[in-house]
Amino acid sequence: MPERQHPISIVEEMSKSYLDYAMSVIIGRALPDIRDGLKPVHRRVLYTMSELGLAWNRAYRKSAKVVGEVLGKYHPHGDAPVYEALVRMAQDFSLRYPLIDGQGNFGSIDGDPPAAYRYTEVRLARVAHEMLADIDRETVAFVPNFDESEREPTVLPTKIPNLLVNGSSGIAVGMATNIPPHNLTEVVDALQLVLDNPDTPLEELLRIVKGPDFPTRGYIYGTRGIREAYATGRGIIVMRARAHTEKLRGGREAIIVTELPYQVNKASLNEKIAELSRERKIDGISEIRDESDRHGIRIVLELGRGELAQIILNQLYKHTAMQSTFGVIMLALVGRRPQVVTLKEMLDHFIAFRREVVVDGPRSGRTSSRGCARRSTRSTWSSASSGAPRAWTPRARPS
Amino acid sequence: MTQPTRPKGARADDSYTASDIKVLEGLEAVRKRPAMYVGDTASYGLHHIVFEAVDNSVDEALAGYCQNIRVVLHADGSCTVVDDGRGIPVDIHEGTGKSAAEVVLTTLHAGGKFESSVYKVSGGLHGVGISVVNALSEWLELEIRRDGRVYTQRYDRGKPQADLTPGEKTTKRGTTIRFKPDPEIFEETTFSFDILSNRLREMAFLNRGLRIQIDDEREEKRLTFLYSGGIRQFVEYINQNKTPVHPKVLYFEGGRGDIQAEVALQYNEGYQENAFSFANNINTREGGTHLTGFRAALTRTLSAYAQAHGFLKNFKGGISGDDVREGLTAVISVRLPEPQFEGQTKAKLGNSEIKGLVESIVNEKLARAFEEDPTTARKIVEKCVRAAQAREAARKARELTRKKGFDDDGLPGKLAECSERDPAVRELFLVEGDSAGGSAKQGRDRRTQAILPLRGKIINAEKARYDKVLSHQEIRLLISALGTGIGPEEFDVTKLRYHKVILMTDADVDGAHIRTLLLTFFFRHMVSVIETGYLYIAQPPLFKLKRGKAEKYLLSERELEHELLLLGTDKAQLRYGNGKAGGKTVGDERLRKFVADLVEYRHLRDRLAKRGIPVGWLEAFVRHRPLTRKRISRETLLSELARALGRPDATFTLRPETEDGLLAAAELDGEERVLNLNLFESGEWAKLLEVYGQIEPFDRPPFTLIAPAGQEIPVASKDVLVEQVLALGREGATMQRYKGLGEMNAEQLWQTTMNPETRTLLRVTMDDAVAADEIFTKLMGDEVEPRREYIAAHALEARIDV
Repeated sequence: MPERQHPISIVEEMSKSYLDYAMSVIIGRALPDIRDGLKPVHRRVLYTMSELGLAWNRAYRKSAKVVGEVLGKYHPHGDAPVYEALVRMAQDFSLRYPLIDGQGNFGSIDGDPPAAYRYTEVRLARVAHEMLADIDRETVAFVPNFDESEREPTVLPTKIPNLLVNGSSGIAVGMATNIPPHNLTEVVDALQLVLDNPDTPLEELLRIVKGPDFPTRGYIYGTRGIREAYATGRGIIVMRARAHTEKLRGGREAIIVTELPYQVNKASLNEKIAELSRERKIDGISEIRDESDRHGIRIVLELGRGELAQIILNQLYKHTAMQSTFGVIMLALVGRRPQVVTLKEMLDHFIAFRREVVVDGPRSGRTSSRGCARRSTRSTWSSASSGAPRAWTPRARPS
Repeated sequence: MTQPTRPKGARADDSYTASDIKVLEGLEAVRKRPAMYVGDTASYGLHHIVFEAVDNSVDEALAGYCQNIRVVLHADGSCTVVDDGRGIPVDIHEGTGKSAAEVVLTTLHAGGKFESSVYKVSGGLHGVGISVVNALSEWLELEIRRDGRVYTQRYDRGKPQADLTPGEKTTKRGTTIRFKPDPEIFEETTFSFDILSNRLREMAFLNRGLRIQIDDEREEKRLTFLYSGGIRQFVEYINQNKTPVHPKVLYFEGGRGDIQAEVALQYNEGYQENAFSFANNINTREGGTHLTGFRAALTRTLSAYAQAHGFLKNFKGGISGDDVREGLTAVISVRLPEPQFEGQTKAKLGNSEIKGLVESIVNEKLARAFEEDPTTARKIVEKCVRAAQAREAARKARELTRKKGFDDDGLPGKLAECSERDPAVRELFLVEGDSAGGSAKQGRDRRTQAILPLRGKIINAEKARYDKVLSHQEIRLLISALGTGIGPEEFDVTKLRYHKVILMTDADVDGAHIRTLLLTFFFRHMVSVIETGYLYIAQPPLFKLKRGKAEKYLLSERELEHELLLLGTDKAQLRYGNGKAGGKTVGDERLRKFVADLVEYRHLRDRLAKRGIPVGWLEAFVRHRPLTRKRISRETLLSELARALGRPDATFTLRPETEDGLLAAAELDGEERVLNLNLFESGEWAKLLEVYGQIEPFDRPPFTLIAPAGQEIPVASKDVLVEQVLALGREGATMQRYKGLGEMNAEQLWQTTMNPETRTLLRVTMDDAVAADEIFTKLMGDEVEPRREYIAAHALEARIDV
């Protein structure tokens, strides 16, 4: 029998394969859902842990057990990404409100790797229960897993506005997201305000949500970026390490760094300072000592006699990660579409989602809160999707 | 492909007599052996007949009589080509007593282009003209506007149904041909808008000032091509997603006697050459004398300029032909009265006088252009010097690969070689990862099948520079295994050690990604492996369905669904229209067909729903008779919409037309809802109605599904019915979803994917090099924005895997 061969044009094959890959990464891997702020892998980890009964007040269990369950039941991919996702949710310097309570070495701000999953143990953090509450009460839609032997939630019925409070970052194809973490109290206050007055202007929201709230603290330099990010979904926020000076013996001074910008690796920062000092790009630092311990960060930069701390500090801000930027791109999946949203839209979406969970019950399949999807006008797809005419265009709200 | 097969049990030679010798006459011959005339009877041939018809009109344009060509793809699968040329002559042809038009349409090798006094040059020479279109069409309608009259004639499968008849008066001139490709001939009868528009765009570039429009009535798409800049704009178009080295496209033209030549070129920051050459609008894919002439002149001029102006001071060795080709985008178009085509696919120009002509034009005019614009000259020459330096670096890297040879590359450890020596029967499977490599090594036929596992994601050959690509470990392995060498001087496709290079990646999206990366490497560095048809893609199954002892492997979600439907309807019965008296029961074949149609209907409906029309509306519309009529006035449409929705109180009113289409809006429950009326003219709507027609007799919910065991399952709606049938099909069946090849046992992999007896392979073809270059630049290149736009525009087509 002659073998079956079908010609396929290279253009068609490229286009099809690439689109499958790109869209799967966009929708199924790299971007968070606007409702629960989770990517599929995080959602699967949390759901698995709740199914395993790993409550905050029960005993820890091996991470390997969780990773194995996630892989076997819901996530047919590599083990390493699953463990990495799990670890990040336990790191108090990565998440503003860690969702997982870890026992053992979960890595450090120095970039040390976590212990392998056969060593570490985990259980849900107390706050994570608020994300999973009522999941068995038909609050959210479930879909079959990859081999249709299990069912998994398409979204968690979270009470916590997780996307805003814990933030998210990810690189998809042709687009990326970077959402900073926020203070829970502030966000909840803002939600209440919007609940009372759906047309709350940005000014009023800004009075409550003053800006991101990074787990590593530090401070934000200038407010224009914050405002722009909240108003448009994009903006650049300048973060700075917190430092003060201490007097040393002999009239010398030392700069003490106690808080770092978000996602700055302390060890590489120290190396960088040492390097600049060695190359005399920054002059006047006589000794660098990392005195950090379990009580917190403390980098001591001893200065030479007569050196002005403020000048050196400014040089440090200029040349090292002690000043870093956070490029906000508030891109999330709305329904099944990636969309850049403003602060207000994020709050609106969350309220609509809670309404769905508490009042309406889930919609079938994977469609999402249509109700609020309508309101948004600035889709990432924007006019580029003109190839597919949008047949049913709801009335746009005056913007 | 269409080899005549000898009837079984044919007797000895003596039965073969003169009466067996058949002379196929005219169009019958075309219908008998279509592939001889249009290449094949699949997608290529199908589109070829459209181009054949368009070529006719382009010839009118070349002769200077035609400014507008319009191609329309109709919802019924037919295609119209309209031009405003002179119109095919209608007077009686002396030799045959028929109208000249009929002669042209029914006789091979008839037409004006064989008389060089009518058309000085003509593009359609490669084919046999419009008669082939006629022969291969189910029907064809001809309309000629000429001599103040409209003449019409209709043909069925090449046979005229009446004489050419003059009709109403007209002042216009031109020819309109509408034809429907014959499904008896073509396996594939759906025109691809993209294939057609790419070629038509090319035509418009090559014939500046000619306006070509394509309308797709099936999907409401329209493109108009009109380029006053001709091939200059063509070069700009090819470079649109690239960064040009110099802003202005260089353009030269010249001629001698009846021969005309024009050249446009621009360099970009990329590393690939994109030189497209045409003779009389025909893409000479294999090049020929015009391309050779161009390249010789380009190398000479650039080299001389570099020498003369001291660009080579710090560099030993000169600029070679390969260096001037790096990052070059060029279009060369010549028109000549008697083109000779050579080469395997007749895609190489052979007229020797052309080389000297093109060479002298470029030599002379490029040198002058450089003198007039030294900035551009400097940028180009610097680029070439950089290329020469990189070539030097790459040569060293390559020597390294070669010197290290087999042993040091660890190829014998990685490559599981096959024992057969003849490349023609050898196959090389490029497998993703070691997990899959193990299965493949154990499952193969070690006589003819070699396995090379590639680890991780290989380098993106579009973004990375040549020497980077060459130093990538997996790529080096691949090159050594193929045996062809690499690089313009060394690569030799005849040395390819396997005549089937088969990409076998996992059936998940990462597998798709690795496939795109491999294709990019082959396209950019070994394009002749693709051109010679040696590159294949394996088709591993996505699912295994096991029920009882029967096992079945399925290649796609659609196949799975279909299989589950078969299982679910097996021995089941459906009672419909109960509630009312006399519910009917249906089973077996009719039930199967009903459910299959239902599934098809749901696919169509949900696809429309994805564009934003609520499912409930669509359901209401297909069921509302007045809306399902073929021709429907706008007023009726507007008034019936609300009625269909059961809301006679509401009124739909028209909105001013936008580029999105014709919108109608109504206030429903205090909310304004908008509907795009183009829906009712779309091909998808027509298809939806057609399929709904099939299921309508049964669409009488509530249903009762009676399982083989006699158990009765009440079903409220037809959507639930599909779910129920699928659930019934799943009952007692176990399904395995394959994500990676490593999940399969060696024997399973052999049976489903590798065994030549049972596997299906996709052979990678490249018909349109411009389109291919464009897609690789867009999807794999440096610029993010075009990629995002492309993804956005095609988002709905993607198969998403989480």
